[in-house]
Amino acid sequence: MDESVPGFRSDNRSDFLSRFLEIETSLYRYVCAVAPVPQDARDIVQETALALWEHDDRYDRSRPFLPWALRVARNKARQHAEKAGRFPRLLEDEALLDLIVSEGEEHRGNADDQRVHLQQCLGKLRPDHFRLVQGYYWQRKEVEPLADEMETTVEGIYKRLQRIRRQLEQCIRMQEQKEAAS
Amino acid sequence: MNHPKPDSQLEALVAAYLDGRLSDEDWESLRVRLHEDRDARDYFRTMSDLHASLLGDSLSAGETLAHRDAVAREPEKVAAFPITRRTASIGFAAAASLVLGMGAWWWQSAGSSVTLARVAGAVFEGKTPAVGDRLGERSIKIESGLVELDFPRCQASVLIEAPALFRVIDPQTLWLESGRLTADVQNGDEHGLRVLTPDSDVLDLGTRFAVDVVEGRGSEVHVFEGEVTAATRKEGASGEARSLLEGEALRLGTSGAVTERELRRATFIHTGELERLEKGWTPQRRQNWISAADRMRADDALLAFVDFSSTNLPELGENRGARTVQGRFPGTTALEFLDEGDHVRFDLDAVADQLTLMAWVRLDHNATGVNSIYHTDNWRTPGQVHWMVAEGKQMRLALFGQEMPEVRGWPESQRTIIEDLGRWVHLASVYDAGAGTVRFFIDGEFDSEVVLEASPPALLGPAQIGNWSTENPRYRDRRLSGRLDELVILKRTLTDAEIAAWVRAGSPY
Repeated sequence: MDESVPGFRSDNRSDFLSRFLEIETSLYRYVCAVAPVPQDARDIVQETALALWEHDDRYDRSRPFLPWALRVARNKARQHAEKAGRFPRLLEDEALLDLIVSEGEEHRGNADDQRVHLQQCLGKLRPDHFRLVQGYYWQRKEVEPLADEMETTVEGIYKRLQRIRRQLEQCIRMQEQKEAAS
Repeated sequence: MNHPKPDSQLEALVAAYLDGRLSDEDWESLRVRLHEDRDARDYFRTMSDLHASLLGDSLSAGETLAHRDAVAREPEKVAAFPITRRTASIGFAAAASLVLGMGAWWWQSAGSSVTLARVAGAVFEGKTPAVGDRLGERSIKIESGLVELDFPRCQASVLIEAPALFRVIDPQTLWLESGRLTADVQNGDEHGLRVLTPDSDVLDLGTRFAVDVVEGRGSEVHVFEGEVTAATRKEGASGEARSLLEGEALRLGTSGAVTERELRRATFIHTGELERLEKGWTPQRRQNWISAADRMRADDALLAFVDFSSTNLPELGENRGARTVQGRFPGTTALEFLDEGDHVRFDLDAVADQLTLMAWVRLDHNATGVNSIYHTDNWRTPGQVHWMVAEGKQMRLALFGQEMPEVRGWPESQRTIIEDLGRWVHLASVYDAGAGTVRFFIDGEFDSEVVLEASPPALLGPAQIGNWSTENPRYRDRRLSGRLDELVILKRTLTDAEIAAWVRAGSPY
């Protein structure tokens, strides 16, 4: 049976998944930076994961996995943008993208801590803002129906998203400072 | 981590970029800015990473990978398994455990250990999680039925009744956007369970309690045992946490107002009852009930069959404040009467020499002592009908103009009703003006018969369901505390056997 998935045999499933889990967060962040629209990001992540899995035999195990994975993600994002007829912004400026990625790797915090901080801060959001996070980020609703639901304009929704992210960013920063101090 | 503060132009550019609506000119400005300014790059990355974290599980490739792996190993078994474009409910944890059996360590390290312990009649919107699944980070909507969640850190089991939208935030915190829950927390001293709603923040300290999000009115907290603290989440309102002890209840209103409430217990489903409902809610049972209901609807003597569904109610009456909640079967509707004056207007416009009244109820004892089921308006006109569970907790069928032999008063059942806290009870009263009798039935069993000296025909004009709310201060509010499901009124007497069969077919247990 294993032949139906090239390069993926039961003895290296474990190896692949541990490698994938290690780079998962970085991959998500990378894809969101180059393709921030939720639906695009999700499709690209899934296509990248599948490509990595199916072509795992092409990965040179003597080299780090992350750059390989990001390269695959970059190609997938490019294909996606072409298909959708979108100008791929950051993908067109590789020097800038590399700079952002490499500087980011310099001071990545602990992903688990960041996750806990985010959860705590989400709990502090105003109920209508929390609902917007739910609708936009988790249920991936389009902005127009969200605007109807919340009795505001599309512009109003974007303004709120900006405010929510600002508030969350400030809250997470405070949580980090609090922990650094204690 | 470095947290540069942006100027408003940079903030607006980055926001537009993340929302996918940056113009070409603006992208050029942002691009130049990012090249030139390290702080701008740090800010961009911080916001983009936050955006990625918010997308969280919805990015997960776990389901896709798990499916591919399953197909590779056992294609014949998973051919019918849909490869959804929607994401995994529990993200990569599910994939990891499916593929390697290593989900546990990964998921624990990510901080979630809350599982779906049981489901009964639950219909989920979107992907249906399985019993035993770990729940994390994704909002779950149940359209009907019940689910039980297990919070091992607090040693808590939480029963959530549909319709509800909720989300496990961490091993001790649950977000309840809508719906109602009962919680049983064993380890609250060390690890209390916290329930957040749009209106309230409830911290449990080792106890049993309920949280009920009442649309448009606020969130209620009812404490059955132990101690709970509750605070409003509304901005501008006094955020002081209130301590609630056994038997106490609060409403934390949508406006931030905090008011004391009468304890409601019976209306909520508790863990012990779930087991009985699980057994009763079988497709076969439901089919029996639907067939029996169809036969009842075809009865020539039927005056009303009110199942309180949205299609049924507007035809028959007008809902004035009653809240629709889940009926005794998953996905069906019952009514709840929470605030003074809540009722349904209803006019049968009929006169009947024989009358059968039947309903399913869950009842609490309330302050007025009377749980009104059906009250016609014009009391003091012979034949007006008042059907209720009265002060003495017995079922009463009073018609104005009735006379009891030797005693003043009204026909009542022998058995009391409210002893049966926390379950569905079927009530039936059968009146025969010609024979001068009232017969009472509880759960389909004959209770007693009262013989009358005077017995006018029943006048079924304008009436209230679930209350008797009048201008008279003495009768301002006689609302039913609990749930009312499936009110049936016929202008004939049902036999003992018919009533027993009706209850057997319609019992949720």
